[in-house]
Formats: sequence, structure tokens, C-alpha cells
Amino acid sequence: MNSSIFENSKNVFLDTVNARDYIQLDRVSTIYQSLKDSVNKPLKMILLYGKPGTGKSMFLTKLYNDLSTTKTVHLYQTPILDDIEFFKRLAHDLLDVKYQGELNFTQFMKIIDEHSIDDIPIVLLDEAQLYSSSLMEKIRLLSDTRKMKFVITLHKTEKEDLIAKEHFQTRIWETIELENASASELKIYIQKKLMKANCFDSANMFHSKSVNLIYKITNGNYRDTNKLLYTLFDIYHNYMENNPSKIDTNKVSNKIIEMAALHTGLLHA
Amino acid sequence: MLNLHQLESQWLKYKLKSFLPYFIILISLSIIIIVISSFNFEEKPKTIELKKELPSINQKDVNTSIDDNSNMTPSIEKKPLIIQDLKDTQVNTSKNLINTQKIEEDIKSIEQKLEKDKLVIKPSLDFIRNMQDNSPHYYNSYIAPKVAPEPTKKIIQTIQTPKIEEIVLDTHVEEVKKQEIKIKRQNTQDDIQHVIKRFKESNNPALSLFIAKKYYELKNYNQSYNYALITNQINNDIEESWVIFAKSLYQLDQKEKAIEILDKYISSSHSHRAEMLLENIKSGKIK
Repeated sequence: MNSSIFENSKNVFLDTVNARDYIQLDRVSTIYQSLKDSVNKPLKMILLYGKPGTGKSMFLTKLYNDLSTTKTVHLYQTPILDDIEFFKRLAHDLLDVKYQGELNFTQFMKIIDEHSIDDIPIVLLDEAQLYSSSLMEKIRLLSDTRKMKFVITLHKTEKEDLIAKEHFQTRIWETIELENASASELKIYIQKKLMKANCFDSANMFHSKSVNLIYKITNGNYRDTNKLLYTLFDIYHNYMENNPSKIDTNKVSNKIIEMAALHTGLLHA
Repeated sequence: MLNLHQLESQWLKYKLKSFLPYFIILISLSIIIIVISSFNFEEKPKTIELKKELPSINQKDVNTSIDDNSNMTPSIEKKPLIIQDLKDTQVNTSKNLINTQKIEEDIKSIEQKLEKDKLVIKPSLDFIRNMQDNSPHYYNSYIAPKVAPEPTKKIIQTIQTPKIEEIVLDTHVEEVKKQEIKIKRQNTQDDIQHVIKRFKESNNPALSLFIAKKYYELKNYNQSYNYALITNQINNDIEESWVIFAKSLYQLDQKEKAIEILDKYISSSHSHRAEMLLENIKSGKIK
């Protein structure tokens, strides 16, 4: 086996949010379809939440890619924490209004009233837990005008749960929770991801036993799995270049999985 | 660039650490097993000693060549060996021109002896009697206390124990059977005295109740009244004691007092047995 295969396999698991890297799993596809259906419903807000690394940002990016051809969709991956800047960006992107000077919430509402919108724009806000509660309240009021629709993602922590309860309990009509993968889903995820990048040999190295160990370490978290497998293939690549006799290329060694986990901090010596 | 050497040593450390709990469990389990097994080894000889104690009483009397190491059963196994030995001697003696007839007679007599020995080596039940003496259940049944050995009992023991005085034994067997009833009567009296002695030492209400019951059985109603009264003074919550007390009063022609006492006891305890006794006393059904 060539060492470049491990190099390529390693790059497959780089932690990036790219809609092209989206892996279709049965459960994930069902959730994604329900999200797409919710967007088409006359809802004011859709809340997408889950633990970090469950694929919320990927979902949002995928949704943006899929809807952008047919609808007016705006994705804000990085939160705009300043209120004035936030409204100015919305006025520019949604209504094509270039506002000079400071634009507060009242002025923005006035601009919305003045403009007639035929196609209701969809605003996708990632990492919404970073927005202040006052700005979240204003976003809620904006959604009440029915002049725009919001899809927001939140980390599922105690604090974010509180935000969800306080601000959106009565307003959000659709909440979608994303969860970690199961062991079988994780196997499909790893193999599909590798095969998508034509790394068939390395995809065949993953048997249920090794995937189970990975699952045990990462608990099915996609981000942790990516991180672990990136290091795993890095180790394989290093062995292949320096000491190839020490590795078995037919299956993933538990030792190397554990070494990768130790290196990434998922296991502690 | 990854430092594989460092990572490998880190992994080795992790592996050792992860196996540590299993090692600890394994070591602690083996220690537990060793401790338990050592306890068992210590206990085993004790049980053998106890077993040995039982036949030891009779072994003294047994006039046979049974080894100390053998139990009661091996004695039967030894029998053919002895016979075999004797048969061997028979052959030898014939060589030495000794009368074979005499030897055969000897063999027969030894075989007879051994037959009797088989009977003798039955386990003695003395230890059961000893145990019963020490048991605290005085209500259940009458237990024969340690009575000074009487001549008749000695005869029984001699029957059980092996002695070659067969002729004497045969003559006494019938005598023993005839005297059995007498012995019992004597025992009851002796028992009561013995129990009274023990009661004076321990002041146990169970003993005083036992005495009261025995006296009542012997129709000594004054004593049964006294001991039932003593029992009630020690513990006024023993139903049987109140029953004996009332019955003794009734037998002493104090029917009214017996009724009065039973009434009081029933009102405080709601004893069904006392109620039945009261009814019987009132209707004069009690004997």
C-alpha cells in the first residue's frame, strides 16, 4: 500500500464545513428532509439544536446549498454580535438597502414596513448561542413580522436550553435535534467518507471491531471522529514512511486508534 | 510531524494503566481464595476430631484389635482380614502338626465374637442425651437429666458394650425390661429436683414453668400453683403459666379465684386459650 493513500485519507477527515462533504446516512437524511419540509411550511422560526460536533453547521450549509437555487437564502456562519452591524447586514442582504450611519432596530423595522417582499427570505444563523439575549429577542420580533424566516442553530448545553425555553418556547413551531451517530452509522459514515475520496483501500481497513473502538472513544461524535481519524491516518502515514513493517494495512490496529486518541486528547494516559 | 516513539511509550503507559484495575481485582481475588482455602484447611481437622470423639467412648470397652485410626465401619471390613489371618495360621499349624479341629473352633469363636462386636460398634447415643440436657427448650418435651447411673442402666450399657460375658448378659435382659417403668417414675421426680436446682441457679421462668407443669401432671397442685405464681412474678406475659396457675387453683378447690384470675388475664391479654379454660372451668368440664 502506498503512503499517499494514507495522506489522502487523512485529508478526508480535515475538520471543515463543506456541503460537498455531507454524508448521507438514513437517520440524518430523514432529519434533513424534515428540516427542508419545515422551511417550506409557513413557520416563523426553526430551531436546529444538538451537542457540538453533531453536524448542525453541516446541515445549515447543506440547506443553504440546496435552497439557494430556488429561494432567497442568506447564511451567516459567523455570528454578527453587534446589533447595528447585524441590522445593517440584513438590510443590505435582504432588502438591498445600503444604510449610511447607525441602524437601530426601530429604523430597521421601518425599512421593512416600507418594502414589500414577495419571496420571504430565509435567514440561516449558525452558532446562535453567541448572540446576546436582547438581540435574540429582536430576532424573534423580526420573525413575527413574517417578512423573513429564521433557521437558527444552537448548541445543546444547559445555557442554550435556557435560551431556547425563554425566547422561543412559544414562538418556534419546529425544533429539530441532531444527535451523535450510532456505531453502525459511524461505520457507514467513515467508509462513505473515504470512498467518496476514492480511498477504497483505507475504507476496507475499517471492520466493526475497530469502528466499535472508535465509537467507544468518540461516542459517535462526528467532529471527534474526524479529529481522531485525521490523526490515525497521520500515524499510518508516518509508519508507512519510516517503519512500514510495524503496521498491518489490512485492518486498522486498535493500538494505532488508541495512539491517535491519546494524541488528540480523547484518551488520557 | 508526529513523534511516534513518544506516542508509543505514551500508549504503553495508557495500556498498563488500563489493565491496573484488572490486576488489582485478580490479586485481591487470589488473596481472598487463599484466605478462604486456608480457613478450610484449619477447620477440617476439627471435624475429624469431633467424629473421633463419638466412637471413642465405646472403643475403650471394645475388646478388639481395632486401630485408633479406623472408624466404626472399618471394623467390619477388617473382619475378613482377621479370618484370613486365622485361616493362614490354620495352614501353618497344620504344618506344625497342631490339631486343625481346635483351630476351626477358635475361628468360629472369634467369628462369633466379631459378630457381637458389630453390634457393639454402633454409635452411642449418649452424646445426644448430653446435647438434650444442654438445650434450652424445656417446653417441648421432657429431657432426661443426668441421673446417677443405676444398676439396671449399667446392665443396659453392658449389653451395648462388647464384653465376652455373654451368659451374664442374657440373664439380665428380661430384668431390665421389667424395671423400665420404675425408672421413668424415679426420673420424673429426680428431674424436677434437678430442674428446681437449675432454676434456683438461673431464675429462668421457662424452668419454673416446666416445674409447675410437671407438678401439675403429678397432681401436686400446691407446688404447681407455687411455681406458676413464681413464673408469673418473673414474667407475667406467659400464657401457659397463667393457665397452669388457674388450673392449679381450680384443682385446689378455689374455682372462684381461678375464674377471677382468668377474667383479669383475659381482659389484659385477650388470650383465646385462657378464654377456653375459663369456659371449661365455669361449665365444670375441666378434670
